[in-house]
Amino acid sequence: MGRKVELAIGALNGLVGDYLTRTGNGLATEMHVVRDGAPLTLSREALAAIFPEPPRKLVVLVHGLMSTEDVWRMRGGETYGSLLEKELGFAAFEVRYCSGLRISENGERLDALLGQLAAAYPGPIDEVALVGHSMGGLVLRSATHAGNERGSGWLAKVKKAFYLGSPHLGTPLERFGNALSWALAAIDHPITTLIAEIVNLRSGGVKDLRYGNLRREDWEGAGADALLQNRRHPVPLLPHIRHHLVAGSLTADVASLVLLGDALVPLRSAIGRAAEEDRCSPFPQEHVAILAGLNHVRLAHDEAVFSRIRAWCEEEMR
Amino acid sequence: MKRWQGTRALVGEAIEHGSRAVERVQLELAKTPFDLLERVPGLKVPVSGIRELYNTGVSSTHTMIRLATKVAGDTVGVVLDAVSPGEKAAGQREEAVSSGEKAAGQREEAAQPGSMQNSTQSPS
Repeated sequence: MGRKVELAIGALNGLVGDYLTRTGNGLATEMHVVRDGAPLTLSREALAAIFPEPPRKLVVLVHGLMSTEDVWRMRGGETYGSLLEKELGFAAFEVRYCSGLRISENGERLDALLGQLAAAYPGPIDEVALVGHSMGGLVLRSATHAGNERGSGWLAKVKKAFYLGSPHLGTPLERFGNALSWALAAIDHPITTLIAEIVNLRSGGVKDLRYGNLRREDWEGAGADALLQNRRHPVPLLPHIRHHLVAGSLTADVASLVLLGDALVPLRSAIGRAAEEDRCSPFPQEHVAILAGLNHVRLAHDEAVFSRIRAWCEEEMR
Repeated sequence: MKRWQGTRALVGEAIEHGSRAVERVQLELAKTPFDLLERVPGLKVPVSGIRELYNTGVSSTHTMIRLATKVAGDTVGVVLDAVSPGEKAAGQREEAVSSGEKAAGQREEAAQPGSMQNSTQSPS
C-alpha cells in the first residue's frame, strides 16, 4: 500500500507538481537523496555510517517524469546503482524529485543537492557518474549546465553520464498535446475552451518535454501554450564528461525503430542525433546503444541495459 | 499528516476551480438560446426574466457547492490538526532542522573546495 501511495504521489507530482509546489501543498515532493528506499540525511555522520570505507566513485540515479526511484527496481530488488556498487565499487545514490517542475528548476536544485552530497561525503571522491532515465537525463544535463555556470565543485568530478531514453530533442506526444490544446482553444465554444484549459493543466515539466528545454531562458517570459515554439538556447556538451545514450525500440524492425522508438521517445531524440532546427548540440554517436524489445519504462530496470552500462564503465576503467 | 492536509487542500481547490469552470460554461451555453428568444417580438421581457432566474439559479448552486466544500475542507483540516498535533510540531521541527543542515552543507561546501576540486581540471 505504501509503495502504491508513493507511486501515485510521484505521478501526481509529474502531472501538476508545479502547481503543488507553488501553492505549498504538502503533496509536493521536495528533491532529496534516497538510499534503500528511505530519504537520506546528507550529513557526514549519516554517510559514514552507511560507508565505513567510502568508495572513491559515486553514481547518482535520477528518475523520469511521473515517477519515483522505484522505477529502478529490477527483479530481486537490485537497481543499476546497487549492481554498480557490488560489481564495480561505486557508492550509489538515488534522487527523488518533483518531476512537474520545470527541468531548469530541477536542474538548479540538483546542482545544489549534488554539492551538498559531495560536501557531506566522508571520503575523497575520484569520480561521479550520473544516470538519468527519460526526463531524468534532461535534469542531469540541466544540472551540469547550472553547475558549470556557477562553478560548482562537484562538476569537475563527473566523468560519465548515461541517458536512458531521454528525449534530448523533445517528444511528439507533448507536441501533440500542445497542438490539440491550441486548436481547441481556437474554437470559440465554451466546452472546447474548457477542454483546452484542462489539457493545459499539465505541468511545466511536461511542457518542457516538447522540445527538451534545459534552461530557464527556454521557457521564462514565453507563453507556455504557444503553438509549437522551439525557444531552446544552446547547452554545449561538457567535454570532460563522456556521454552515453541508450535508446529502446519496441521491436527490431526498422520501421518500428524509426516510427515508434520506445513508444514514447523517438529514436532520433533518444540518441541525440540533432539537426540544426532542433537547436540542440548533437551528441557524439560513439557511445550509443539501441536495444530492441525494450519499451520506455523498461529501460530503467533491464539487465541488458545494465550490461551495457557496466561494459562502458569497464572499458573506461582499462 | 502534511500529505493528508495536502490532499484535503488539493481536493478543495479542484472542486473550487471545477465549479467555477462549469458555472462559466453553463452560463455561456445558455446565453445563445436566451439571446435568440429575446429577439422574438413579445418575448423579450419574460425571457429576460427567465434568463435572470436561470443565471441566479446556476450561480447560487455553484456558490453553495463552493461554500459547502470550503466548510467541509476547513472542518477536515481542523480534525486532521487535532488528530496529530504532535506530528504537526514534529514536522515544524524537522523543517527547521533540515534547513539548518542545508545551510551547514552550503557552508561546508564553500569552505572545502579541496574535497571536490583536488584536481586542477576545469569543467569547461
